[in-house]
Formats: sequence, C-alpha cells, structure tokens
Amino acid sequence: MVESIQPPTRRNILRAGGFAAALGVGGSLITACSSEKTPDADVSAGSQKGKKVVFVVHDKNPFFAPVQKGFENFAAVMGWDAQFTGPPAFDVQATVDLQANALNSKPDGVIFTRADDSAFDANIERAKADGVPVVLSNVASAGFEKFQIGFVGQKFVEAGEVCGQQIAKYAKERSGKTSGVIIAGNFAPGNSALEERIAGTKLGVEAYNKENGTSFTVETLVTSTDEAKAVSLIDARYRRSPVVGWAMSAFDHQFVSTWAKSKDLVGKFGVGGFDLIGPVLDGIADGSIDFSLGQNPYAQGWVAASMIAMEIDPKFPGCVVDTGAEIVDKSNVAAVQKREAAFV
Amino acid sequence: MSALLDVHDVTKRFGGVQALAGVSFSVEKGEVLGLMGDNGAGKSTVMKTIAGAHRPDQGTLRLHGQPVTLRSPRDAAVAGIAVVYQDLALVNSRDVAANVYLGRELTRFGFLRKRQMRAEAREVIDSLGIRIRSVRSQVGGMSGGQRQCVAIARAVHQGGELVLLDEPTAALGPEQQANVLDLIRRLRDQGTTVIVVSHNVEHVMDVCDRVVVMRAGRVAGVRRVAETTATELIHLIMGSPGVTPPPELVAQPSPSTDSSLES
Amino acid sequence: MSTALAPAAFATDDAPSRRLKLVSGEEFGILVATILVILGAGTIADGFFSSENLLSIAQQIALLGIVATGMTYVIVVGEIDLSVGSQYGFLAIALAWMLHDVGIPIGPAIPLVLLLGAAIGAVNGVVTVLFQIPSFVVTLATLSILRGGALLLSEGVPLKGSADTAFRDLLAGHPLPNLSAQSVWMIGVMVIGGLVLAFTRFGSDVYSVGGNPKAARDAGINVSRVKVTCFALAGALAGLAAIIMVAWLGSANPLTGTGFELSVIAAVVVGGASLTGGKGTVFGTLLGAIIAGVLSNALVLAGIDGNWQQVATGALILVAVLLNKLVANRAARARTP
Repeated sequence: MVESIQPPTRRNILRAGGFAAALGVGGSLITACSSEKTPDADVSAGSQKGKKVVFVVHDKNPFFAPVQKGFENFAAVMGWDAQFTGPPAFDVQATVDLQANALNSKPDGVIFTRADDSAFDANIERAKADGVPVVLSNVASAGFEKFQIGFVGQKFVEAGEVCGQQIAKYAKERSGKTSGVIIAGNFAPGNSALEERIAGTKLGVEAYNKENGTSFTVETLVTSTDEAKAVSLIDARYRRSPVVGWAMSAFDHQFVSTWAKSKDLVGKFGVGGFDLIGPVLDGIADGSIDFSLGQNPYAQGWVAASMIAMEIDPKFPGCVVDTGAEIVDKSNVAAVQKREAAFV
Repeated sequence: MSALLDVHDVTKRFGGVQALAGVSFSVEKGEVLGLMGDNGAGKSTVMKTIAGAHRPDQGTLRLHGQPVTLRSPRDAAVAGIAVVYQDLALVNSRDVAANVYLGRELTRFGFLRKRQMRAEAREVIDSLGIRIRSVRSQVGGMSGGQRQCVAIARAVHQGGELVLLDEPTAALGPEQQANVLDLIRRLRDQGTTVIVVSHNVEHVMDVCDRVVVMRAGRVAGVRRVAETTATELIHLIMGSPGVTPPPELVAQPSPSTDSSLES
Repeated sequence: MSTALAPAAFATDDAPSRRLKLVSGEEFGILVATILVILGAGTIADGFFSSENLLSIAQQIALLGIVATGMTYVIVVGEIDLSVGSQYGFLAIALAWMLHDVGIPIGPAIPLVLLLGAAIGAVNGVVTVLFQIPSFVVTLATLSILRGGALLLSEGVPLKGSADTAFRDLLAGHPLPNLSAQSVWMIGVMVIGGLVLAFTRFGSDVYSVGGNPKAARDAGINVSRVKVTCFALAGALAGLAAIIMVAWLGSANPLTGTGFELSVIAAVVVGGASLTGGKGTVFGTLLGAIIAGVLSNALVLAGIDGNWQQVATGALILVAVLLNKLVANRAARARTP
C-alpha cells in the first residue's frame, strides 16, 4: 500500500462536472489533432471505442476508490473497455503477476503503479517492447525517468517537505516552544512512499529551523492501521517524554485526534498529516487537527487515463504531472468538506 | 519342554505402590499362554516389563535360557518380542502393506520397494488366513477385527517370536472375536508363541493352553486349560472361592470357532 | 470379513489401483476440478491457451509451488507452518542485506540463505516437538518475529537485489523464449519433492508420523527427527523461493510474503492434503497451485473486476475441497472390503 487509506469518497459528481468541461477542451484537442492527420477517421470523443485499457494498482485499498472512479469516468467518456485491478493488500509479487496477466490480454494501454524501484521494470519494459502505451500513476519510485513514460501522482519527498514546514509552524504556535520532539508517524513500515514522506518531513522541519531559529527534532514512531492499537502506541509515546507536534505520514493523524480529544490534550501540540478522509476533515473542523495534505487521487485516475488516450491517438508521449500537496486547514476545511460531501 | 521365556521373581514399585511382588512364571515355546487378573492385579505391569517398557526393580527375564535386559521396546523387538497393544498402533490413513512394514520398509537405492512389500504383506495376511480384499486398502476403513488382525500380522511379520496380545477381543462383536481367536490358533499352528492378556475367561479357555492368574502383584495360580474350569479361574481372579463373579467375566457366550464360518 | 483362508481370487491388491496408478483416489477430485477450471478459463478468456499465457501462469505459480512443496511435508507430517510467508520475506531481506551491508558475494550468499532458512525451520520444529507446543502457536510467533526482523534488518525500506547477471539468468532468466527459469526450478523442486515423499523411506515415515505419531514411535520411527526435518525443508524451500524472487524482481521488500502463508496453505489443502496429517501429495499441491494461478490469470484476461477474484478464489477452495472429499469418500467405500 503506497497511499494511505481513504474512504471511498464519491467525488465524481462535482469533479466530473469540472473534468467534463476539461474534456470538452481535451476532446476538441484530440479532434483537432486527428482530423488533420486522418481526415476520414471518426474523431468524436468515442473514437477510441472498444480500446482495452487496464489499470493495475499494488493495493486495492479504499484510497484507490477515487482513483478508480476518475479512471472509469474517463474510460466511459472514451468508450473504452476498461479494467481496474490489484491485490487486496500490498503485495509486490501479486502485482507483478497481475501486470503480466494484463499484458497477456493484449491491451491497448496500461496504467501501473510503480511501488518498487525494480520489481515492476520487466513488465514496463515488456509493455514498451510490445508497443503498448504505459503510464505510471500514484507512485513512480526512484529511477522511473529511465523509461521516459508519463507519471501522474504526488512527489512524496516534496509533499513531505510541505508537511515538515507546516508541522514546525504549528508545533511552535501550539506549544509556544522553539524546541522539542516532533513525531513522524508511520503506520506501514516498509512502504517506500511513507518513508519518503517522512524523509521529506525531516527536511521540511530542518528548513523551518534554519529560517526561524528554532531547533525542533523529528523522531519516527511506528503506529498501526488499527485504531485501538495506534491510540495506545501514541499514548505510550506521549507518556515517555514531551512531544510538540505529530506529523503522520498518512491518515493516522486521525488517531492522534481521537487520542488527544479523549485525554483532553487538544491544543498542546501541533497535529498534521496526509490524506483527506472524513474523520481527518472533521478533526480539522473541530480544531483537534491543524492541517492535512491532499494529493488529488481522482486526477491520478482521470489524468493518467487521459495520458493513455493521448498516447493511443494522436500518439503524444506521456509527461510527469504532480498532483500536489493540497494544504487543508481551518481556513479552507469547510469548502473541502463541501467538495468531498458532494461526491455521492 | 523348553521355556522360551522365564520370568523369575520380578518385583516393581511405582512410588508407594507395590505393582509386582515377586512374579515368576515361564512361557513354553509354541504355547498360547493366557494372562488373567482383575484391574490392578499387575498383569499390565508384567506385560510392559516383558515388552521392555518397564524395567524390573528386581528379578530376571530369560529368553531361551539366557538372561536379557530390555531397556526399551526397541530392545524387546530386537529380541523377538512383539506387542499388540489395545490401541493397535496402526496408521489409519495408510494401507495394510504400509502398516505391516511400518518403520521397517524395504528399500533399494533409497527408494521403497512397494511392489515387493505388497506381495509379502499379502503372503503374511494369507498365511494367517486373514481375509482382506486388498493390501492397498486403508486401515482406517476396516472393521475392528480386521484391524486387530492387521496389527497381529505386523507383529508376526516383524519377527515376533513371542507375540503379546493386550485384550485382543475387547470391543469387538462376537463374529469378529471368533475371527481373532481363530487367528491366535493359527499363530500357534505356525509355531509362534503367544501371550494373551484378557479379562474374558471364555476366550482364554477357548484358545489358551495354560493360564497364569495374577492377583495383587503376585501369581495366584497357573493352570492347564484342559485341567481347569471357568469357575476355578474366576475364583483365582477374585481371590476367594465364595465370591460370586461379576457378570461380565462369564456373561459372554463362547463364540463359534469353526474356521469355515464366513462373514 | 472372516479369517477363513482367503482364496487367491479373493485378493485384489492391484485391481482397484490399476486405474489409480498415476492418480490416487484422493487426487482424482482435484484433478477433475483443475481440468474444469482450465476449460472454464479458456472459455471466458480469449488467448488463455496461447503458449505465452500458459507459460506466464507457470511463472506466476513458481514461487507458490516451491514454498507449497515444503508446506506439503509439514502438513502431511501433521503440523502447520504459519511463518512461511515471513520466512520468505525475511530471507529475501537477509539475502539483500548479506550482499550489500555485509558484502558477501552472491555465490556464498545463496547457500547461506538456504541454510538460514533450514535453520529457521528447524527451530520451529525443535520448539514444537521439544516443548510440545502446537506448531500453530510456535509458527504464529515466528511469523511475527521474522516480519519484525525483516523490517529491522531493512530499516523498513526495500533493499536492492543483486546486479550479477549470471545469478539473475540462472534463477529468473529465460532458458527458452517465454519459459522462465523459475518455472523450471519449481518443476525440479516438485518432482524431487514428490518422489521423495511418495517413494522413499523418509517419505513413508512422514505419512506414518502424520497419520499416527504414537504408532510411528512404537514402530521405531524417530518422530521428532522426522518432524524437524519437515520444518527445516519448508524453511530451506522458503529460502530458495526468496532467492529466486530477489533475482527476478531485483529488490527485496520487507513486506514481501505478507499473507503468503494463506495462499500456500490453500494450495496444499485444495490439493487434497488433510490438516490433521497423514494425507496429501506434492502432485495434489501442484494442482492446487495451478488452480490458483489459472483463476487469477483468467479473471484479468476476461476483464472481470479484481474484487471478484477474492470471491472466486474462496469459492473454488470450498468447491475443490468438497469435490475432493466426495471422491475420497467414494473411493474409500469402493475399496473397503
């Protein structure tokens, strides 16, 4: 699992509206391009009708629900025969097998998540050798540039740096101190994306220290996806020595919020993390969480698919699109909650 | 008459319990000897001593007149003493041939000689007159009597010169009991020496040549079956001539031992 | 039955087995299930029967088949090893760690990993037999210890594999177009593992110990040694799978093999082995692995939602085991004299 778990927020209606407009533009772009190339072709939005495109993720957790929705909505517009698949839990080998099976089905395009530096390379090479357009989504891992293929997703170290800057700011604000320990939580050790975010968080905190004369330090803490277990780990850590901030590498700041509220500790430290799931947004709204960073999973499906469409026809190469680190805090949480709620 | 096994003045204590208090008897070559006694009389301890599972505190065992020390069941097996316990120790999930050869499989170049083992298992089964359709049948699917026969066949096949049978007819139907008793007679006909540990006076009278009766860790008496009666044996077991024997010791009708009886 | 002398004609030692020479009654059900699944896959998925796709499946089940061969021994001997997935992940990390952190060359690292695997398995076995703790509990503990060990050794991040091309070609190359080396390794392991289990004294001891440990002990079989050997074998094969995996994927992830033990146990059980011990064959396990591989392949080929794969896999385990039981019962009745 590279991405943290988000509930299947139904964000398609609002987003679909926006993207439908975008597609109008994209569609006319395709129209323009192909009509010059092949004047007799059917160049409507459905010109890729029946094309088989397979999206293989490394972990079919609920985070990928909006990714899948974005992908499927785009596929529907194009008239694709689309398939979205992945192992039920993070499993490199099972993902490699699913990718191989996808390529065996002779697709017109594939979208992979590259959650490992080398394990998926053979399949990417094979797709390229077979002339099957391939685009990476969500996670690309080190060295993906060598393939010269498209990638749509968050840059984890950079996003981590944003997180580091934010948590240092809030740690200072909340605790009134200029030094102390900031906890970087990791609920899935071994997951390279979370490790990269934590590395970025450390860089961000260091940068903040330099600019502001503070001396915060970062300490990693292994938490859990299980709420009860995570809360007890967080509590145990807090009892050991003072903490000025909690920066979780995924949605586990939700557990910090639960714990702080139950112990009446809200406001004594900064709390932040990644991913805009419902409980996190509620925490921001009630003040128990200071900020959270979004990564626009819908775009990781929609834009990756549009890149495949572009590579099929008119055969433009893919490019790298950063889906960013949208900062959500008290100032914009109401709007974001409204946006998220609008997805049925 | 030459004694195959001599048990001489054997004593055995378990903590404060004197299980055997100077037990002596002999087993003649080629005979079927019954070993009887009430619960706690010491017959199990005697059997386990002969089987190498217990070591006597005092006293000696002689095989063919030579003193032997049996440190383990393995020693007893090597000395030619085979035991068929009540639980039979069969592997239900395996076939007859595998059970006959359990732990002593024939191999060539490291590989099992399955064909030969099946053929020889069949030979043993047939020579003992045991009726089993296929030596490739799983033992688990067989009747209690058949399983008892397979266990005895293994004891004989694995070189048992003296075969100890622990309650061989317990928990069997009358017809199966008859079959097992038949098999014991056939063992004697083949020259195998057999000790039958049993509660059942009728069965002991039926197949044994002599009976050793134990009571309270001692030998209460040794009788030739031809020269005794069920009543006398029961009195020996119970310890007083006046006591009425419990019904289970005499209630079972003596099954037919006609070897032509078919299932 | 009767003890009356059996006429020669009565004995049918070979007759009921003639048609079961290659496939025993227990395996017949699973063989039928496998054929049905393959035919079904060919019907719903275009291109299923292409040699490229079939060899791709053979590659996908290779590591499962290798680890499941070891698990077959453990299950037949009447034990269970829940730690094989963790062993597999830990040994992959251990290999990468030896290569890059310790600096051991790949040549000696391979036998070291195999030995380490055997040693881990042997520890599982020794603790199980020495302290009479159910292997379910012992290996549940090892599962957790080894997973933690893998995370500690790797500091939580994936480690690089070996760049040695000879190593990668030997273990995960392509001796023939589309035929991957790991398939060849799996066939080698399963043929040898199958022959040893079916035709040697050790294999016979494994069945006897699994069927009735007391009877086996009474018959002079060293029950503890047989059990420990089975665990050690499972560990060594987890090591082999880990080595092949690192050669194939070029990296070792500390989360490798999480939940793998369930796929492995499923393959063995679908293949006709009994969790109570004494029953099961390597051939059956191969069929169990093939079913799992075909199912996952065909569903992707046919464009069926990935979530159905979980449902289908579960349903198939049930159907295969039921079919197995049905046929085994019938075979048992047919052969009971």
